[in-house]
Amino acid sequence: MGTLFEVLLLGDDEQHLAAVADAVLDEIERIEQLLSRFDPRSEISRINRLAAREPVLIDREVAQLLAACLAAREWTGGAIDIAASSLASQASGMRQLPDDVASSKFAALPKIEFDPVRRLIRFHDSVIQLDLGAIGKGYALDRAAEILSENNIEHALLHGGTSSVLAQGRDENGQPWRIALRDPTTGEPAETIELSDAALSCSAVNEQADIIDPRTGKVVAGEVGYAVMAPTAAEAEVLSTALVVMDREAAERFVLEQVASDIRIVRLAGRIPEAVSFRLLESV
Amino acid sequence: MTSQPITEITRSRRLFLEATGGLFAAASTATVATAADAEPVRTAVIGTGARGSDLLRALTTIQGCEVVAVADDYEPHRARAAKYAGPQAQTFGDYRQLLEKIKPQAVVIAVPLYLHYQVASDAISAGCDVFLEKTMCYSVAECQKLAGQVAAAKCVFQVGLQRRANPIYQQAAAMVKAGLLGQISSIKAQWHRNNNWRRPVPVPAGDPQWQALEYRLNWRLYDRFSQGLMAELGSHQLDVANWLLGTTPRRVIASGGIDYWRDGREVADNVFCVYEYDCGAGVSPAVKEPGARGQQPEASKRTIRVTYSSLCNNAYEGASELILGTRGSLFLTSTKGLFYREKLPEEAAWLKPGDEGNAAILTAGKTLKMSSSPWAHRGEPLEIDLLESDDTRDELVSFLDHVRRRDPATICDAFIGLADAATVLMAGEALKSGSAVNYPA
Repeated sequence: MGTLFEVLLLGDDEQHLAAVADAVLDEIERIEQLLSRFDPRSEISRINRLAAREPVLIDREVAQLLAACLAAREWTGGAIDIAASSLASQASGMRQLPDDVASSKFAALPKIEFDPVRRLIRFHDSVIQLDLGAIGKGYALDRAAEILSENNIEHALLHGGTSSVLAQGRDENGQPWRIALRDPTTGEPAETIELSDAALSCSAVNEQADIIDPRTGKVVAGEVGYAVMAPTAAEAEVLSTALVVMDREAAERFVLEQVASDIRIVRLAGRIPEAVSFRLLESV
Repeated sequence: MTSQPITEITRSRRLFLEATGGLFAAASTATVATAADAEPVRTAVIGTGARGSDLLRALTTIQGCEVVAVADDYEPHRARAAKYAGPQAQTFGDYRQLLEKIKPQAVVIAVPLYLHYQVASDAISAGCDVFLEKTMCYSVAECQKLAGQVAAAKCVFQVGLQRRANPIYQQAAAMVKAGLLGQISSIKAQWHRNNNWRRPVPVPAGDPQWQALEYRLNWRLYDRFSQGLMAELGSHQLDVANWLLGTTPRRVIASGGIDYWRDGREVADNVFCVYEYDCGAGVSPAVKEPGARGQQPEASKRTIRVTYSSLCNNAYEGASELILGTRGSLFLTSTKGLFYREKLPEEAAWLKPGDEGNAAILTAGKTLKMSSSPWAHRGEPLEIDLLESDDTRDELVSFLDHVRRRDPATICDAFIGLADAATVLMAGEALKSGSAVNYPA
């Protein structure tokens, strides 16, 4: 992940808060070491090294997370694909893959066999590499939230790389935590969101940040951003990434058909955040 | 746009939520063909706190290992371990019941230090092969008893000093042996961190349960359960010193105290030690050294000093060992090694014989490059990277392999574990007494 995580805890026992904060950061570090494709010690690295050669027995937690990622692929119509994104990262260096590569490699995915019960995974193409970048930060925050509740911390704000935020309880004034969103194009503060016992994730495409559509292997065009508020940070992160990948019509249809009322979505485009037609926006 | 609020969760979202919410995934029916395994090693884990959980999770990824049971007398840790281990594993509050009812072939033990001897001894008596977390035991006497029991039972026994399984340290040992560092001058090892070394206690400080939970979860901070920083952290690194120098120290002086985290803890929050090792030719490969002219260094013993420190209020250079030799310096961590050649005069390019243009300068014989950088003397390091390894998993793979082959010569056997324990415990004694302490007879 290579991301900055920060933890803010409220309470009256400093020693306890410090110990919990350390435990939270330890947990986040553990998840990083489990999921990072850049850390040779991680389960994901081990899978990426070996799975094209032989079935790899994986840890229960990673097996469960892979099952979630495959469900997310189905849920988002392929807009989230942990197996395609490494091809995408190769592509981002050249803006996009050549058409023939894109069609043959991306359309055919996934060439993964995965048995969640026996926890075995195998790739049928050595080009496949798993990349959990679209869920890792959110998942880490959700596990961190478990540490908070195990230790009776009611009020806390955690974030990973400022794009994934998890807010528990209230801020020091007893108000919901207030999070400012930046306009993805201008970088200016565009909107303030109140968050309490919920997670927020932002994804955007602009000149600085390419996102590749795993269904086509092409860079997502235009400048658009989404902020998604959901009960868990993993879900918020998956949805914000998926919505950016979809075109606007598909995104609106997806929200109408697939997104339940415990999720709020803000679309940010151009200078002014559009209160777009998503019906769940009224409370923002 | 108006439409009915969606109250039903769609099927695919439900699958997603089930899979991200807890530790148990919804099952699907896909199967992956795999080669049929030999009889798996029936393995149990006793003590499933943070470290025990790491070991347990690693065990679940090793083909040919079946986690048949877990035990911990603290319910939250037991419950978490049950999830990591999977439904086939039975859970126990009392490890003795586990040993009796399950009769595992191998037991992985990660209980607090003061319980190491008792649990390991019971497991060996129950006929198990044992992987025991470091430090081997709370006292040298316990280590000696346990080593005797291991020898008598002829069981497979390994102490969890995972740097023994780490390719960076294996490479370092090979480099030292090959003489790439010249003669070892000294070793400087440290584990510095900047936190209070506490685990959170899940009840407020005024709660009647607090003290018991504090002792249970923060046992590392209290004398009767723990041997402090030297045993919990230093043991890894003094094992590296023992390994690279091929011997154990003769003597140690140490100083430390509770000088920053004055929160009721009993173990020092900062420790400094100087160890003296008597080394022969074994660690000083026959390299001709300018200073050794006319002597016979290979034949005579000399003292190599190893300094060790551990801090809890500054993390500069973290957990690392610096192996200093007459030819180079090796900076080691678990994920990266850096080798710096010493800038010896003979390495200067213009000193090469036959360079007529520089014949006059040759007689000067020394180089001095002016630089304001405090790191100028180091030059560019040769980097040793970790490409594919997780030393915790690898040490367990190695242990299970030895279990399967009935081979007692593990990568960290009882003698290595005993030597390591004696090395760190003598520093603890020196800390308390304020006097130099010799290696136990």
